[in-house]
Amino acid sequence: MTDVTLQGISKSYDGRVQAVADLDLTIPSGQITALLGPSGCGKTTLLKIIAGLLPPTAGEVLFNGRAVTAIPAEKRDAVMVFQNHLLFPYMSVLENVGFGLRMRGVKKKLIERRVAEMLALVQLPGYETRTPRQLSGGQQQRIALARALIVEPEVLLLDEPLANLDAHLRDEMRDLIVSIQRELGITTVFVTHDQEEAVILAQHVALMFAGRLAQVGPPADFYERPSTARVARFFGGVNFVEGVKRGTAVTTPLGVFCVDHSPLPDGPVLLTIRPENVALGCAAPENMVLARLESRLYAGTHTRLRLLAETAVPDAPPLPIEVTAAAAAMRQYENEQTLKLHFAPDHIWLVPAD
Amino acid sequence: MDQEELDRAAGCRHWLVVGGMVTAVLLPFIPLIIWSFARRWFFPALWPTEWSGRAWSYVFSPGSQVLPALLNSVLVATAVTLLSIPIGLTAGRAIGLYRFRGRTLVQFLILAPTIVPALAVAMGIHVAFIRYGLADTRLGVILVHLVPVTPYMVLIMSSVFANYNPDFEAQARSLGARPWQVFRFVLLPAIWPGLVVGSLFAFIISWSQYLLTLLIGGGQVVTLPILLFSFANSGDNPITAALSMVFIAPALLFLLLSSRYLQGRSAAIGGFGKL
Repeated sequence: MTDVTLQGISKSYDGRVQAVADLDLTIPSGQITALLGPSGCGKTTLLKIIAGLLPPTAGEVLFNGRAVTAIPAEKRDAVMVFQNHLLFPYMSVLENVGFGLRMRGVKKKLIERRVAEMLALVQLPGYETRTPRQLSGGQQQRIALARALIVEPEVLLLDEPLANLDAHLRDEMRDLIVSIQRELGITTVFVTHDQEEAVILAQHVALMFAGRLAQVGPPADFYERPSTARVARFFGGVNFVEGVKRGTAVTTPLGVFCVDHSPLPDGPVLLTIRPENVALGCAAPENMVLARLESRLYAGTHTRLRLLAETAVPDAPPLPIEVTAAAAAMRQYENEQTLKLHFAPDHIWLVPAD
Repeated sequence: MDQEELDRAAGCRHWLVVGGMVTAVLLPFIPLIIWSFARRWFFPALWPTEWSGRAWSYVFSPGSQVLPALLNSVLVATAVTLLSIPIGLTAGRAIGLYRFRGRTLVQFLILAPTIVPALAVAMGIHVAFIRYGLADTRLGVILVHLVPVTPYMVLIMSSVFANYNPDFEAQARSLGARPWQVFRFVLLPAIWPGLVVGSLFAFIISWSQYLLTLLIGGGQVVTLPILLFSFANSGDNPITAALSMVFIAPALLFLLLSSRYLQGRSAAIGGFGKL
């Protein structure tokens, strides 16, 4: 079991472009951690730094508390699987999967046996003699995974492992990664730009914006307790109302709201509530908002409602509110109708004002 | 027409084209072969009036200059090829793979020897080579052959590297390959066809150099073209013809050996890139 610690990691190119800036992160041992962020946020750079393929401009990489920053990629106990799987096209599946062992001078007989084991693990037994060209995208990705796992790395690094796959293959691959990781207990880090993928696959998520960590924690935190409005927006948060917090009450243009918990000090804040947590039809007058239905979008499993809420401030434009309602809401409500919305105190979350 | 007939028609066309090409290549050899066995062959005779094996017995006689010249040519062309490989590999990688400041200038400078007349270059180099004691030496000839050879080698290798993904090297390192293993198991197999074609060009360009060899070698380094020209000048057609065939044989052999890298899907030099 190996945990990975990053201490003050910075990476800049040409001394100008700052890809990663003074980043501290602990990656827990034996778990799946997602490095999440929009493209160009430095997450792949960070993965390559952990793999030893890129030297950090500053900072230390530690495996189990031991600095490995100076250890080159080929001697580090970490293997990276690239986004486009990069199977060597002039080698068979056997040679591809056995590559790492061959580089270590392992005997041919033993390589063949280990390759057979690995192919069974990724559910492609008997594929030894095929060439990469004869494999589908999903199979190539699995062979690439087998090729990485055969050298028994302490840390497995996956760059966008599901990015190039069709929807159904993506589910299959995701399940495979989870089951293999559970079986081997290997510390796994994967990079993704898809927050849903991160939440489903990982036990631990590190969200990055522009080379810096925005939030680190278990997946649910990013939905329930985002640290900033930007984090909330990245995870699909759309409803934001400016307000001033005083104790458990927040005064906003939509009225005063009661809030269950917030680590923020009193002062200006942004009140946010996830669209799926807004309740329709409300009996209690507390935390109630009146809003006019503007449009409905039927999405099969649910209906997305867009509403405009009148504010108490004269001449101010109405505030847009989005609600994810049951699919039946499509028939239940009409546009132009005024609805009562309930912002339950335990669903309201406060983030610092921008 | 059914599919079978269409296939047969396509097959016919294919063999017609191949046959035509082979004929076009081999036709000039026929008078050479005849000349090499002729003693007297004057206009308007359609056929030599007298035959002789003199030319060939001269070519193979141990006392003739042919064998040393052949040896010189092989030595020089091989050395030039071997020297041009590391140059082509590094320069081709830089130009094909990376976008850097002054890249266009570097490209132009590398191509310059193909634009500037060889004579102009060689005159200048000659002066410098005399000073460094490289004139009239085999080493000098090898070095000066690199002038026309390098542009082609770099051009071919940069087009090879333009289609090369260096991430494969990173992947191999991550899997535990040491630097020489990355070179041996990842880089070399990927660029091998291009390297063979580039070497073929290098060898043939060096092999057929006359002017540069004459200028820098100063008549001291006798390669096959030098010998060939001197016989052609003296008007000894049978020996010139026999020598021409000796001259062409290795190039032809080399071409045949590497032909599989020049054709079809292996696409060693998928065009010459953007130049």
